[in-house]
Amino acid sequence: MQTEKAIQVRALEKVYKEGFWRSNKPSLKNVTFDVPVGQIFGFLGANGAGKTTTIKIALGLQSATSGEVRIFGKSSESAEARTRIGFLPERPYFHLNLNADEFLNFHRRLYGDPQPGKIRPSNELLLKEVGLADVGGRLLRNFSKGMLQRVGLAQALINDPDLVILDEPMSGLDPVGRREVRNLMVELNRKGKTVFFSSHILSDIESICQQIAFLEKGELKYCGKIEDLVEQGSREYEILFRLEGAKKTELAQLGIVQDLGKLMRLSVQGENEARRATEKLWSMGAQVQSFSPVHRSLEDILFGEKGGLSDAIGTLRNRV
Amino acid sequence: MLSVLFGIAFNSWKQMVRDRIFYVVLLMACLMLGFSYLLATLTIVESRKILLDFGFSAVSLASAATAIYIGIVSMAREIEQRTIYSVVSKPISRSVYLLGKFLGSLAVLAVTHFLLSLNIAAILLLMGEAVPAGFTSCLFLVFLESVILLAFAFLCSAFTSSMLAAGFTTAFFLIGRSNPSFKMMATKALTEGTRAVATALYYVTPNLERYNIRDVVAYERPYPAEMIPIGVLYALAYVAICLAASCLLLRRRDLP
Repeated sequence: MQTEKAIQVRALEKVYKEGFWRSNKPSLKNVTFDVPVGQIFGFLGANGAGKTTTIKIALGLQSATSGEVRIFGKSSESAEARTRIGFLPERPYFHLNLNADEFLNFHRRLYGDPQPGKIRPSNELLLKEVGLADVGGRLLRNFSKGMLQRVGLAQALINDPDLVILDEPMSGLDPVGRREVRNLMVELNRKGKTVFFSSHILSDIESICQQIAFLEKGELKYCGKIEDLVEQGSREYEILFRLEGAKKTELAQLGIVQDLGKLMRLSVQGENEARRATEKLWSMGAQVQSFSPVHRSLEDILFGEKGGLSDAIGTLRNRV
Repeated sequence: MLSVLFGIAFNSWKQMVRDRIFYVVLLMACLMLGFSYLLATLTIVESRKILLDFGFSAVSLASAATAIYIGIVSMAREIEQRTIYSVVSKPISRSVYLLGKFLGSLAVLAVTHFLLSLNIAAILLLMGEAVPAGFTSCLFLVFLESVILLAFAFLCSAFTSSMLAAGFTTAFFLIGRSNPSFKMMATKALTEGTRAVATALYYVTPNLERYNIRDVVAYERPYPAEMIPIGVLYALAYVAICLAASCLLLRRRDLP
């Protein structure tokens, strides 16, 4: 049985006209991926990679040059699809002359009557959920950037959405705020909501996402589970050993050597190379203390020089 | 849909009446009216006419400035500051958003204009003068003129930046006020080409002078009664065209 998709992005292309001569500047190049229902899905990429453009097209803020985005199987342009989405823009620019209650009431009214079976949360509950209890009467003009981000999150949840789209939700938040937003996303997911969020902060994505899509210069480089990516590619191994009177030049041929004082550390790429290096160390009379693969973070894979994304994707393709 | 439309209009109203710059514009208008009172009290003869002349002009300029400011802030600034994002990403059409914004802005403009008109009436009473015949008609026509400006500011805001939209609307206002001169140019033109250009300009540009009976009322001369219904129809047509074009442009526009 095919899994239901919250978002389907199909052959999406966006070309902007720029400059005096209106020359073409492609922002998205044939981007295709799916976001399954019920997941926390991370949308990764450096600034200018095309994340926000994809989100804007999904929400009808911009039109695609070609391709389409479907939300729960419906055109993203349709009111039916929009009713099921909650959205937090990248920068929380809101109507600053309203107080938090008025702001939420206004956004609540934009959704019309609730869908059958849906109960829209009250302002108090929403504000409490985003850590802004007791500020309902304060003008947004007097809010800090972090508070605006939180009240923006509250408006994104006002229709009890099935899909929450958050564009850089952690930007402008302090570490405590970031942690709270992460927890909120996990909590929303636990309640059965699909959470799709963009970020260039890899640790945030790695800690909560089940799947990711990675964009680079408008092209989709990877879409899938994080663990599939992390487990693939040539891995780095770390060998800790003790060796009296070791010749550094000889050791340097085996890999990258670091003197840790009583111990020495040898870093080697690939399991076979690591085994060969260990045997060599033994033959040199070294006491090998440990031999272990080094945990690679998402950052190492996506932006590391060795064993990077192309290596990992290559291995995944070979396996398929 | 009506609930959403009025929700947007009410939000737009609240936004505007809490805007500090809006009160600066109002204060300037009151100062201009105060100046006309001062001028009238310093004049030995015709003080009533001077007060009405300056007062009407002050209200006219203040209403025009308010219409341009409100129009730009309601639309162009919403797009530039991206406050529009969280609204049009909801299940509402951009046309409903634009019309709601226009209704809210219209309400603010109407209340501002009413307060300024009351201001002149109060000054007249303060000076022990009676309100002249045609006083309400004159101020109503000034209001219609500012509604046309508001709609034009919305039209410009739908496709360009706030600075350019303000510039275009101000140019529209100045050209509209000079529209009858194009007709005069056409009659006095020496060549066929100049006559054709002047005639074309006369018909293409709006005639905002049809909303000007300020001198006539100040000097208590009669004015054609049909000016009011014709002015209403002309304004309705202009506003409808501007709003329809704004909706089309905004629907096609990629938000920044």
